[in-house]
Amino acid sequence: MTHPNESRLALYAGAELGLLSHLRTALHLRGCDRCNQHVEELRGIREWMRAQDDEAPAGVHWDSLAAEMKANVRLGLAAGRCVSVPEPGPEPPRFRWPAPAMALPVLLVVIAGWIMASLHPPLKPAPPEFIVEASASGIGVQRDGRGFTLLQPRNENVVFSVRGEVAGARYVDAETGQVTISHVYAQ
Amino acid sequence: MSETVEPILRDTLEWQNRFISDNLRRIFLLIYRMLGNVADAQDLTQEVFIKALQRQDQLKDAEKAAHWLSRIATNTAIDHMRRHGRVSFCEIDSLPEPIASSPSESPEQVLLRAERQAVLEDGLQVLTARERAALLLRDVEGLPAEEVARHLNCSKATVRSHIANARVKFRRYLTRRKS
Amino acid sequence: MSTRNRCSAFLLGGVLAAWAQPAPPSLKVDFPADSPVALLSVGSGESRTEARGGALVLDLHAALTLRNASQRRIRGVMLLVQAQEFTPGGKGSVAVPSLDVRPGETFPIRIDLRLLRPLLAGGGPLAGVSLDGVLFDDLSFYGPDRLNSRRSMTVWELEARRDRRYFKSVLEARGPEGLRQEIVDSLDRMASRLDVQVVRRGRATALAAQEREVKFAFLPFPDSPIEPVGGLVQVTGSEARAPHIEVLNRSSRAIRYFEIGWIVRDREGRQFLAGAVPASSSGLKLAPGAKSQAFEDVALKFSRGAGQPVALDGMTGFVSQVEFADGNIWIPARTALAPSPEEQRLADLYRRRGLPALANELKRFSER
Repeated sequence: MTHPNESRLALYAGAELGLLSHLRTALHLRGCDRCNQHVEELRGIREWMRAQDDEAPAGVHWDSLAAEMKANVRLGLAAGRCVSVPEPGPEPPRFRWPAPAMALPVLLVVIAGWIMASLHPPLKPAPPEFIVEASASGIGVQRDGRGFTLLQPRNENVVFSVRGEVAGARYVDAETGQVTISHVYAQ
Repeated sequence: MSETVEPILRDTLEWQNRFISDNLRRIFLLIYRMLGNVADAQDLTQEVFIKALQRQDQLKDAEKAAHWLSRIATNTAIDHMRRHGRVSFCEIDSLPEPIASSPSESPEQVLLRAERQAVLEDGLQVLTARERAALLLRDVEGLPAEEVARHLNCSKATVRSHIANARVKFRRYLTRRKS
Repeated sequence: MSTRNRCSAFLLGGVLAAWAQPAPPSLKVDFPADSPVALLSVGSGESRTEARGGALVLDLHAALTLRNASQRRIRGVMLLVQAQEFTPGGKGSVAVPSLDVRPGETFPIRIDLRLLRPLLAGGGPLAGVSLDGVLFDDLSFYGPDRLNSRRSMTVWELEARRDRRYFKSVLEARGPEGLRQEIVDSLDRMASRLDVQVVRRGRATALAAQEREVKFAFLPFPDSPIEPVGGLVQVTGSEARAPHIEVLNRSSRAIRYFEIGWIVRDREGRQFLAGAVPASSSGLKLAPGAKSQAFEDVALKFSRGAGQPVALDGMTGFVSQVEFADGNIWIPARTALAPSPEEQRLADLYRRRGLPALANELKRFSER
């Protein structure tokens, strides 16, 4: 038995084949479990992808991003209005002043540059490569400039310490009354 | 907004705001999934809306406007990828604000959501720019194949080829991932 | 479609469906069958996760209720909490020393930790909790001891007994007011905290040209099995780089581990406990009369309050613990500058419940 190629099955799964091809493929699938399985998988993937359509990327705070984009769009539109080229008259003047037409791209570049700079500030020098930290922020681990705090900051007495690549915080748990020592390990 | 703004201008501004609000997330996600980069997606999304709203006299019909916006977005993204080469997903190096997960989301749900995103984004990486655009427009946006062809300014046969290749590659990617 | 193929048809769908199904619990607690502590309940409802870039930050808040399933009193428990073994920040521990749990009694342990886990670490619980060690009142130990919990908990228990004896002697010699004064002084000292950042490989953040070499002074402990014979550290402003301390084993027994506690002094003469420098080689076997060193190729940056740098003026070291090759442990006499976990607990007890509660607590413990 010859089987349809993967591309044909992929198009069948999305109902994108022409009528004749569709019917031929459907007929084959009636008697072929293997190709049926393949089509089911592809349909499952399509359904799954469709379900992701509104998912924002990980790490994106959508409300803030949306507000920023809206503001920038408004700014871009306002910049466009400021330097909009006048409608050509019925008879072009003999000595047409080219400044507005040239100023438009220049101004937009300047404004775009300002927008880009504010959105992407100049890179700061990489911070030192800390291993562990014990401070009022808690105990934390950092690597290559990326860090995070590993213990919630506490207001009550906390004794911090570092030993090698281990940061520790010692405090009396308010609920249990027990002294509790938490450590995080950089390695 | 000043109370002295003329009614026509106020209506225009309201219309623009509504247009942006209605389409912003969809367009951003479309561009983001094509580029794989939040910063570039943000820039291009803004550019797309500015372009579209500068021609707003052509945007009377809301549905047509939305489709037209998608086309601009797709082409802008493809042009960007052509100019800058394949854009790869990169980690957000400085730890950004955390996901604004809803209070009702459990830690497990947050993890699942983040992992789903990672699967989709990694899978899109294996596709060419056109394949990616075709797959996103067809299987994520749900546009008919003819509409996808119009978006990508190519023939229906060509877009079917892109769609088929994209689905085959994505399925193979998932198979490799599982194994 | 046959059953086999129907099952197979969901091969890939299953991969995707897995992300739609409820995930396993956030925290998996796993104690061995012969564990002297039994898990009665665990509540992790307050735990949260935040995806950041390619990683997941687990904000774990869990309340465990355990029961002493052994025939001996438990003095300390240390748990290993792990999200990912080889990721910096993927591993943490929670230790509760100064316990006094009779056989059959239940006791709580709270876990409040943030750990890091790669986003695509696969399925399964977000973090696992296992038992690293249990210390009994006869100083015997149970557990895999992956985190050197036996040594740590024994040190803490010895310090606890030492400090309880001390405070009892103060109570007997100077009465309640004497005890109150000691505890208030202890609270004051613990409030003066230093923040410390450790930078890898001794790479200073300040200009090396301003660096000066500072010798360590040492607190004398005549009965200490090891004697610090010299120590140097490079100091620049609020940074101390590459502490290097040489010690001599003046005991008649082989030593396998030691730590040198480290006190920094600022220009105003205030002293703060900064941490400890461990013996520089693991698997040490320091013969009687032999020398070894404690060395760390790191820079420590000190600050107070809201990142206010501390201008370092001097360093004082003291032998804070020694472990002999036979497993016995030596700790120094009580020093006001290095409060033990038990001192902190007793001071907190006084702060919350007053002098009578503190006095009763001191009487409760029957020391060996």
